Amino acid sequence: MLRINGGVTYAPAMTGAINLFGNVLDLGAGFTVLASQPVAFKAAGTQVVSGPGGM
Amino acid sequence: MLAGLAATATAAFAATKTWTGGGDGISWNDGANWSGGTAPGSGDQVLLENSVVGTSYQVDLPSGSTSTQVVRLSIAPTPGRTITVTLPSGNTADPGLRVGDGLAATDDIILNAGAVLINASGSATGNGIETNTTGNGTVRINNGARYVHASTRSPNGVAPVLSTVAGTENGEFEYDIPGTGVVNVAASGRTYGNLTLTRSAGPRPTDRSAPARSRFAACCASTAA
Repeated sequence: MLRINGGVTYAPAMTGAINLFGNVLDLGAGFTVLASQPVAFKAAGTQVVSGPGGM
Repeated sequence: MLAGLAATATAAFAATKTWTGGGDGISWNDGANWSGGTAPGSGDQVLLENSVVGTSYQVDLPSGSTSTQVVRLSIAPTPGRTITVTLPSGNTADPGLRVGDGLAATDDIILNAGAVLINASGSATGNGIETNTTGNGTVRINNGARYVHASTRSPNGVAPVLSTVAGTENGEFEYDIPGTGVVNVAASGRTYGNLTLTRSAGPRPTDRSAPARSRFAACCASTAA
């Protein structure tokens, strides 16, 4: 799980992909992804993105 | 080759020091807290568990410019108990804690369920907590265990050498870096179990109007589980 706690903005700017094998819980101030930033959800089953923070 | 043999010998004959809590019950450097009556030396393995102290407990590494080194650090609480080891912010040594046997493919730091290891180093340089070398050390955060990087120092003594073996999928690595400015964390090639991003010193959850003050940028390549 990727957990973003309160008050945190997560703003990755990587050249490679962010590979997520688990759920995302965003309790923070936002998960901001550039258009050029690949994000791959790679679990075999369902992955849940939840929480009040925006993505 | 001689260096390799020496390292092997060190690992093979290292004494295992366990926690008795018979001294002040919290200080790593108080020898009365340890089996044998002396604090662990650089050639010792450390096992923190609940065979003597049955309750949850905390161990604080020394403050000041003291650097601590051991061959292996294992924290293995009884189910339902928590054992916390902290490198305090008052420690200014580089490194504050170095763990490792100098051998590749061995786990230098092993955190089992209920274990918490906190790196709050106040050093001006280095990593605070690190394996012997990042080339041969492995840090295994098993499911239910937690490592907290709560320092402005680099996480490169631990994050690049996280074990990805079965049973670590839900081991937690938490960044809780002091301050409120933007934090850039190198990400390439890292694989975490559970990854948690926290700024205890940042704005509270209700302060979303100030998002830029507490931001992780370029962080975190991969999460497993």
